[in-house]
Amino acid sequence: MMENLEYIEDFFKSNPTEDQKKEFDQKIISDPSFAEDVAFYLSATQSALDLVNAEKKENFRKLYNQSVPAKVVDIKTPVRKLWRYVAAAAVIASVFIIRLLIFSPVSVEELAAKYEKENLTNLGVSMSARGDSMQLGKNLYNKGNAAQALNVFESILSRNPTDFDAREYAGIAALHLKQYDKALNYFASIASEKGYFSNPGKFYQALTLMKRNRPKDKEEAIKLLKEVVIENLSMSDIAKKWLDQMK
Amino acid sequence: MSVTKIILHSTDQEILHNLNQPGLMKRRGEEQFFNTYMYFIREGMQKHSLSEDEAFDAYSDSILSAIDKIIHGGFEGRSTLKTWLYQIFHHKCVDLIRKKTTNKSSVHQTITLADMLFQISDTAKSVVQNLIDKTDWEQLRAKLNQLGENCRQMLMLSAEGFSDKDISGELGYKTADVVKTSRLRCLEKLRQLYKAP
Repeated sequence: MMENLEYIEDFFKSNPTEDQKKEFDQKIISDPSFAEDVAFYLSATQSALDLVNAEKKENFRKLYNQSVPAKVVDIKTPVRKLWRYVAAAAVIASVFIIRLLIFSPVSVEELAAKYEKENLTNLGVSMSARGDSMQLGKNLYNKGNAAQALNVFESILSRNPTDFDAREYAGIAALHLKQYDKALNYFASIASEKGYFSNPGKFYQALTLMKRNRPKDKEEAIKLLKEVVIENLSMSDIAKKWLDQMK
Repeated sequence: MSVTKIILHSTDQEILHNLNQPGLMKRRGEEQFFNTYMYFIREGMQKHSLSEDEAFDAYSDSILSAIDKIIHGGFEGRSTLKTWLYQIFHHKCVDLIRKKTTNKSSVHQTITLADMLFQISDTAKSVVQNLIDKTDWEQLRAKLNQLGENCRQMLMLSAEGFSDKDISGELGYKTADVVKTSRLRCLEKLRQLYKAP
């Protein structure tokens, strides 16, 4: 078996002659077992490469997240044209910070981060008897490989777009990776599902907005949390507590 | 035929140099490349009306694709690295806009199967392609993750294009031959894991 793999690898990694190509083709056509070895070699190489790229993208995401201040300013714009905007932004930011310190004793980001840390760092692999893929995704997430986990959950969704759990976990993984738009889409899609005894979609939408904390996100999160309380949805007790803390 | 070559900026020269080095220097080159043109993400959001996540995906896929081309000699230096990368990025953004309605996630694949299958005749290709179509990709990736860390690293570095000599330096093996033997054993182990019921 190993001899076959070595032969196959040497063929693909070198520049085979025309005679070698003919011999290789003939073996594929006449020997089903050899053809399977070739298919396995190529599939394994592609899978290894998928993992490489998933890890690289995760690393790029970290680099991107670390550079948040750099994203705000267009680096090609001359600084002298920006000073008015910078000054105005500084004044607005000061007012906002003062207002936040006086009127908002608890930061929504802190609430969201605390909840995520305490409740969403482990997806509990033994909770259901789902297939290997779902367990693999959860295992990857629990081990801190959120980007790979997201790939797995999205791969499940590419086959079965209505899978409720896969959408929920994909949303959680995206939230962890700060891919907020993606997380909001997944959570919104499960929030719109009716008939589930437990549906955390709306609560998670609010959580995502609180963590993202862009202008108007807090207002939108409060609106969603109120709906969670009024409709007595999943996590309504936490939603009520947060609403009290955000007053 | 004469080919006009652009004199590259020193940062671009450094990126290209690092990308063609093994090991840590290559990683450094990848990060340097990503960081240098990261502002494309913002342009993707403004010019193509993409969300931040979508623009990030398009940009990181463009970087991965560009790195692969650079390593395989696909960057000829007829434009600056920025202009060349922007063309790739622009195409990725347009592809993403087209795919948006089908909600498919884009996963960049460097050496595609098609590239490797190019070496064999159409008849043999269709035999192999039919077998590849039956691959359970998730299962295969899961089993790959179940291999020991050394095995996993060896297969990933090899798939990325590292030579056995480079891998021996990276992972502390004595010779390239030892790496090759160990790597093929890992591949065999992966096949047994994958085929096990």
